[in-house]
Amino acid sequence: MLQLPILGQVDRRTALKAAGAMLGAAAFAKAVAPIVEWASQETSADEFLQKHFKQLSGDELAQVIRRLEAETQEEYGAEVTISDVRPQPGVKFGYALNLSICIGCRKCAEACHQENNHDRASGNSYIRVLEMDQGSLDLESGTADYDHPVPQPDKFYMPVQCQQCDRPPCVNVCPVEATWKEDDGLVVVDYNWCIGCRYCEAACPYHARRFNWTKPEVPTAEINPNQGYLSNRIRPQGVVEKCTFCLHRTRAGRLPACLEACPTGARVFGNLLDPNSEISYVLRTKRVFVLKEELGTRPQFFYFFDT
Amino acid sequence: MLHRRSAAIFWGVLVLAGFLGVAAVLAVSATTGVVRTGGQGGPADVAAEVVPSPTPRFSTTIVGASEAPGIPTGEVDVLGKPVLANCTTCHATREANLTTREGRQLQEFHQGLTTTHGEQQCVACHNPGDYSQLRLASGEAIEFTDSLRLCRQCHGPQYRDYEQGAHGGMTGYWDLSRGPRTRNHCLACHDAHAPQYQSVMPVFRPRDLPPRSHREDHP
Repeated sequence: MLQLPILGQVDRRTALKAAGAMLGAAAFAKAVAPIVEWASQETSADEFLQKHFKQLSGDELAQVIRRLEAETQEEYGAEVTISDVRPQPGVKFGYALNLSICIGCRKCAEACHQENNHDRASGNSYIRVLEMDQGSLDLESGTADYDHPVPQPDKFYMPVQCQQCDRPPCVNVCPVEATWKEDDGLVVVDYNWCIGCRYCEAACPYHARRFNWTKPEVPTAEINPNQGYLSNRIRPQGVVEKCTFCLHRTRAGRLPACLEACPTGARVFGNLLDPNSEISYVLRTKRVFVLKEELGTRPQFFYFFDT
Repeated sequence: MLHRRSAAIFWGVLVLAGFLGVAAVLAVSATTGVVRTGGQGGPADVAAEVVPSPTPRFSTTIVGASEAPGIPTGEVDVLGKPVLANCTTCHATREANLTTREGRQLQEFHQGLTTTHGEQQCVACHNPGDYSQLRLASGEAIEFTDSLRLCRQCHGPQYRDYEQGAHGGMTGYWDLSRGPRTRNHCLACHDAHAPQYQSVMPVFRPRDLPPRSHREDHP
């Protein structure tokens, strides 16, 4: 048998095995190098070791929030306050939109963009306003990038955002439970737990979820400093985000930004559990409907026409 | 032997009772689960667990009501601002023409004032006895700032919804136990003489859509 002089007792088969293993290991190291490099640059040890939102103790959450505020200061030059406002007992949020009044001006989408610290480059917003033919409710035939004076006489306008479903398909498909439904009905995402698989984006029948393809770019002066951990804090790259009915505002008793921006008063927001609230009045007296009712998602976002 | 048999029966009965108990608990929880999650749509379900309304501790301010207007005289003052004349400056001495419907029927002032608000005469809303005031259908004279009472004479359904917070823009707090609210007056959005909401150019065109040509290829 041929003996390699330097290897002494090692036979050819073992030598080839060793060489193959080394080659394989080297190839693997090369292949994962970009991920290792990205992870070491973009992810701090604290962030990597952070627990799920629901498992964080009060102290741990305060520490996480301090870290996120410091990161925003460092990366965006903005001094922000990140709050963790919890659901109020006895409150379940509902939203209604009067399609007879909406003129399709897209002011709500713009207000969402500013309030929620969306990426300026992509012009992201949680609200898509569809221009629809009168007499049709076919969402597929709606156009979103119309660019003419509104309202057009033969059209109506339908803003679509997260419907905060009572049976949310997006929550069911998440493989890591990074998204869930809170006691006040809001479906939220822990951006630090999300792995960016985008299953939820595919599962949502309303196209309510958005993916952060890039690290959001927001000029320092335009950053909204009133931020929520589960809502409008600046999202990391590679995670999914969604409308939260501006929970950093609404859980403090304020109206959502899209409602305040609406020049026509087409939007009605409030507590579904309070029989005297504005939203309860609408549900009680108007002929409301929900989008894609047949899917059984049970949206808490309602549409109606004036009667 | 007998002792052993009775012990076996005793334990058998105990285990059976245990199974029955678990089954009963499961059945009860399944039933309540169905009651809680069954039915279609949200309102019927939420009606079951209503909570008392919080006491409003903050007020609602209505903005956008107009004061008694002035008519441009065509003159400007030393600061370059147009000189406005009170309605009563002319109208105090003139006989009111109750049939007038539009500005162009008049020889002076009010030119260019087109009215697209039903088929009404000016005095349907303006008080011919005192043009610094408005007048209700009942004959009661009211101030311009009180014009909401005038609008609601005809626009009942809109006023009803407005009262309930389901018509008209607002800002501030949905929860009036925690903060105040500001609401728009009718005239903040509707011109009294041409109340139809004016068309606007939309803002914030979405930029994250695929090109139109691409979308047409893939319906």
